[in-house]
Amino acid sequence: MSNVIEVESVSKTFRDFWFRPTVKAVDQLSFSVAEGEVFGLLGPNGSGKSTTIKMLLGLLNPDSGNVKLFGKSPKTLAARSDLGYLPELSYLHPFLTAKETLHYYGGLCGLDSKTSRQRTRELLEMVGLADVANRAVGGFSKGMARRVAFASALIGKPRLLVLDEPTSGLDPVSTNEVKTLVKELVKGGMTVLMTSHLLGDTEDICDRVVILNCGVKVAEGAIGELGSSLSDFFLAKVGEGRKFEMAEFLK
Amino acid sequence: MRAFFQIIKLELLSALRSKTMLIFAVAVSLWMTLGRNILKGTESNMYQLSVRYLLGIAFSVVLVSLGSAAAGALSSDRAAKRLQLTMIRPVPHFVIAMARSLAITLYGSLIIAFSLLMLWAFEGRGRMCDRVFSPVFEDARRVAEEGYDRLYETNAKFREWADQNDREFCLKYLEDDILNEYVTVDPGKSMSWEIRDVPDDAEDFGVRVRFIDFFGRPGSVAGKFTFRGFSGSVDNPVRSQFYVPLNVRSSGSSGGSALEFHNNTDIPLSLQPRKDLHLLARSDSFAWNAFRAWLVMTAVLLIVVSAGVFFGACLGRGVAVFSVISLLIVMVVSPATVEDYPDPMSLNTVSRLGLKASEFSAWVTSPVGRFSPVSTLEAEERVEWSEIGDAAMAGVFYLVLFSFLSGLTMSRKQDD
Repeated sequence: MSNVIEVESVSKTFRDFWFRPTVKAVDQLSFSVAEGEVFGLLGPNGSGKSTTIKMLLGLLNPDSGNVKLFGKSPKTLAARSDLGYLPELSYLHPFLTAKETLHYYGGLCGLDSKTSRQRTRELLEMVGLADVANRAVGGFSKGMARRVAFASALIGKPRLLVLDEPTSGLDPVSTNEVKTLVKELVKGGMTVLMTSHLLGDTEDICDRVVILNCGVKVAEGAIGELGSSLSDFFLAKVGEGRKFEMAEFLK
Repeated sequence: MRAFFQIIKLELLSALRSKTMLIFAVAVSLWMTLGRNILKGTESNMYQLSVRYLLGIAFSVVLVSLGSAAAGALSSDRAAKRLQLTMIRPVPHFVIAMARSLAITLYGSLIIAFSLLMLWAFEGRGRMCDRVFSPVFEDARRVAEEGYDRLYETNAKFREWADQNDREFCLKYLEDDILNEYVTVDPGKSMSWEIRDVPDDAEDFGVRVRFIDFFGRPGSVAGKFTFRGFSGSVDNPVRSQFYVPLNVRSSGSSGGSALEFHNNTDIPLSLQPRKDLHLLARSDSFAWNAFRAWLVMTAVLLIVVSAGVFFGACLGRGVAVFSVISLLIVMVVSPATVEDYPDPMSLNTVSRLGLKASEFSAWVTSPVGRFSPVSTLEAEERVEWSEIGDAAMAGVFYLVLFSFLSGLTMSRKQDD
């Protein structure tokens, strides 16, 4: 099976106005994601997950190392045309209706008008928003907006779906629906990379995970290989780092 | 291509649904209607005042507001994190900037069209415009360069002066002298100037002229202008600049390209033909002229909006808006400062640096500042297709340039 994502020794340091380093967000990170896999990127707040995702999406340039999607730079149009992305918050245009939002992103993905309309209809049915398709998304609840954002990530029929906290802000029923949906998409051949603070959800969906702490990879492996519970493993790995930091600070 | 139109549609929907367009339309209507009622109390030419103040201010407001809106387009979307959702789609980043520039220009041009429509309703019906033709002269710059070289070789005093100043300043000085050069028509004599490119089928002519009054005797001009068999007389005009309609047609002499003036007074009459002598030929209606002016205004707006989008791509919203407004202020102020062009010899170092900065600013903003469709409309002169072509080319050039720069900086800006 070929790799959809390849990350090799990637580092990223943020700098201030005078180019002085302020924070090393990612340090020598390497991992790869195979086609059809559901891969989890885990870590506490500030561990470098979002920075890694932004580098995968081509929104940030790594200082060193290589990021490849489908064997190409994520900045190329070819790599971007097979990519769907659900951000942590929905960031929708409030004056557009749900239908127009999907149609807009369909247009950006290069779908022709007819296909875009058909796909919009299917996706709105799928996320359960067909009845409110013509309402402005500015008036939607957080959960509804999340579903529109999810649908818009899928509008271009991507081969790789990047989900940043996909269940954030959703009630338990909707969370379950999202998990089922992700499993269905993977059955259809899609590759998924996701981040989540909800380790139970990650355990349910992901095949493999990488755990980051302070920009450094602290563990990687298949869910079954990481011990009986992902939560225990995660707390042990991240907690160790935290204890060490505290000890250094007290010194 | 579909992505390009989707982005344009999104921007237009935003303007429509946020009621920005409606507010603009209402504001323009109120301004034109109330302004007209205020101007009604004056005794001056109502048409000229309406164009200068009503249209001129409406156009300035559109430039400032839509330039600022353009500066906020990408920067606001970036701040709201919506921009990244567009940037990760398979659309080149310069296309995003270009589409947004065009969309903002499109709705700005609709507002300008609405202002022109109201002006037409108030003052434009039945009004015509003129094509303006100047006498043919040798290029002033070339004459100045030749004069500079000749004087430098033969005149020691000139050489001494030229050595103390830079060549560019001396050439501008000589060029000004050439443009201000006057000729004298002796009593009872005639003088003619060649006028080219006047259409053969043109029939309605006039002359706009100003004579220099050396002797402090206003109203001492009398004579006759003739062009292609059409003639018109002037006798003791009240104003220094005046219009002479060539409304008498004599039989026989219909060809030729010479504009002739015969001095009927007993004193020599002087004028500066490079500056103050123009043949006017009746062209077409105000409506057509307003349409041509609208094209130029749209091109000017496109340049300002493209610059605004670029500022928004590389700066935060507040700074980007401030930059656009500064650009427009500099555009208005700099040419006037440079026009006055004080003698650099009389300036201290700080003032010289200030003058250089003004010249640079005028140069930077010249793509916008050199087009003046409002003053052309005010003078009832025809907006020439060559000007529309120049404006359109400048608009497209700056749209492409700023869009590419925006595309480059949009990716970099995500690092912040």
